[in-house]
Amino acid sequence: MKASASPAQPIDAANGKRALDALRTALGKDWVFAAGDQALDAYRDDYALAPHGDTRPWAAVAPGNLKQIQKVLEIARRYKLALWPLSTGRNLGYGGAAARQAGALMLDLKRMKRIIEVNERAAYAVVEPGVSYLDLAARLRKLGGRLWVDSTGSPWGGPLGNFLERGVGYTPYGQHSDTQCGLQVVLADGTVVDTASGIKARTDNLYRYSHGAWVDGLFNQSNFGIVTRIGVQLMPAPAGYRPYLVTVDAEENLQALLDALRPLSLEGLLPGRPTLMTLPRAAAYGATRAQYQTGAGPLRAQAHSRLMAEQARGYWNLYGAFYGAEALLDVHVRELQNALRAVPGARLHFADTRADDAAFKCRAALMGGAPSMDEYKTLDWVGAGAHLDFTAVLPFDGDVAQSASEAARELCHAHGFDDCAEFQLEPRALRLEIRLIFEREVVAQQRAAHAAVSALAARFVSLGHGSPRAHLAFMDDTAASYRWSDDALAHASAAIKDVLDAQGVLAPGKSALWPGRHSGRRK
Amino acid sequence: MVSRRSFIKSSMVAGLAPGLLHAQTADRHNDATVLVVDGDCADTRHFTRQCRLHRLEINDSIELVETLAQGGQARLFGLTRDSSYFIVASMSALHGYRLTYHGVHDFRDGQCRHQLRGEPDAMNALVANLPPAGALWTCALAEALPRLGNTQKAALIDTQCQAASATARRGHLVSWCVERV
Repeated sequence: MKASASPAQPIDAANGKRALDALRTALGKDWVFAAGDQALDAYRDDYALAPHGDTRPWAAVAPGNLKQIQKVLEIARRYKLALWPLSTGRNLGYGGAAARQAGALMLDLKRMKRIIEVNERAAYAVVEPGVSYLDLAARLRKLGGRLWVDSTGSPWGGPLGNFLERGVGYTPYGQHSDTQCGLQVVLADGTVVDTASGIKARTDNLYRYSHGAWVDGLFNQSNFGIVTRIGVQLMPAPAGYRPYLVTVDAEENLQALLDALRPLSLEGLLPGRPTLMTLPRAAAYGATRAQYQTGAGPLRAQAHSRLMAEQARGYWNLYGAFYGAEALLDVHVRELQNALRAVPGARLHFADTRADDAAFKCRAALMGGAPSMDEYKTLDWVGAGAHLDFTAVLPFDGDVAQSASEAARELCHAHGFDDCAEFQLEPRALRLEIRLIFEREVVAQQRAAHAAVSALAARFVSLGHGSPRAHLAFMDDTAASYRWSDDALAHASAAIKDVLDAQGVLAPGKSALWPGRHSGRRK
Repeated sequence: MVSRRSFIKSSMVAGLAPGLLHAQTADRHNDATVLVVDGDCADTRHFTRQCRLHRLEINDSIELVETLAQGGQARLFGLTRDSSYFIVASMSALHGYRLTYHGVHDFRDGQCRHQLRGEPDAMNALVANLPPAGALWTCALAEALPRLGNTQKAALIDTQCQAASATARRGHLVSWCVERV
């Protein structure tokens, strides 16, 4: 796969100066950051991937409100600038706060961090782009903790950015596309759209539809507008909560495990987003690979055996939770126990026996509505670590998952990485997230991670599995894998882009959506 | 209201780019110094026991955010795993803290390699004490870190000692100090 960064539309010095002057007039000089300003260092991929190349921005602005965003848009249209909006910029495994290509004007929305509303009665909040999950959780804690926030494993990111990047959490409210309730969007021409209600009805943020086409999905993983506000449904704290772990020793019993779980999943008896981790992925929460093996190359069988024995894990480790009154929890547990009888070597564990399991603690917190940063501890696996993720979606089918898992492990090992993968269980599908953990200062490892993701992407396309999200460096190639019917999907997206952003100022190349003025890059 | 200055600092994922900064207004009083506790390793627990200071638990992210937002702490320091340092450095940057000292303690093949970056005199003093301390290097560190001076200029010093350490097999720890600028 080729390196994919290239310069954005250049701006000459005279127009550049005029544009900066206009931006300073509109926002105040404190909130415009130009060449030479230390602030621009922030807009990079902190887990730099060597082959991805230079993505340095031309300048950055930090508007404080909607009106200022509209002014920035006006200036961007006038000077044909490439605006790259970002909220908290913490999506570190997929490019962080960097733009798709060098020369962009970063539209940094972190100053907009108001929690506009928390409605405890109807259980929702309305927040701006700069609000993190930690901010929201702190507010809910102050209010008495009657509502839970569904956080990702990276809670310094926020609900708005996470929704836009099709992120997920781990409670029953973990499908963030399903729990957003209303967007405020600024279109490229400055028009403000409120998707939940055009008339400011009393059901704003309670009922996500207005009348006619439902357009919220258009702004998800796209560059059709700038989302400046989001409604987020919050989960009422349940009467009870019981996290669990299922371990299965033999790698080849993945198929049996998933086939046993599928009926429960379809019936809604596996609430939330149970996560099935490989041994290295689960072990990395509380150990380093140096404890089990020195030298390069993936963990050997002997190290696996030691890890399983010392940490009481299987090769497969499923973290999930049940919610509700005690009697209901008992019923759920019985159903799960019954299903697991068909799985050789499956064991069910609860909190009382997992006090030393760092992965259990982290997952129990996340599944229990408490943001946890412990996911980052997995990076200690290699010392000063970073990660690059590849995600694929598969049918919820044991046979398919077994093959996909074997392909992933083979490619990870071939590139020198451990098999740090997890399946996130949805009712009918599996999201397979493969994490390449590497030493972030070691360029050879950066390159190896990049090569591994390229190989994974190619293999999974050949197996017929799509990828629902991609690092900046892989967006074009990922989009190119969805080529059915002479690229009909890409053509439809391009047509929408041309209508909503005729001058192509918004995030050129985001998710491979190139505006008309970059027509050469369209597929 | 967020100032331009704090906004710029907040944008940095500080943990990944340990550039040292002169801390102009840091209060040296111990009440304003907070030890960030990462209790998952024997060496970090040992280090914690040596430091009689107000403590902040790394595992409670919300408490960390709230403590930082309340202000009042001039400096935070710790001996932690790299990920804990990364989290604290980045979160504290949101509230105007900058890195003024950074040390890497790398265990490989029976040796512990210390790479220290900070104020030259303090680093020289620390280096003089670390190797002789051997397995008790965390004690030397615990004694030195709360007394670090301001970083007018930074020196990078590389030294190593025998790694007769409880966490020798873990591979990698970092010590660090962030101060409100």
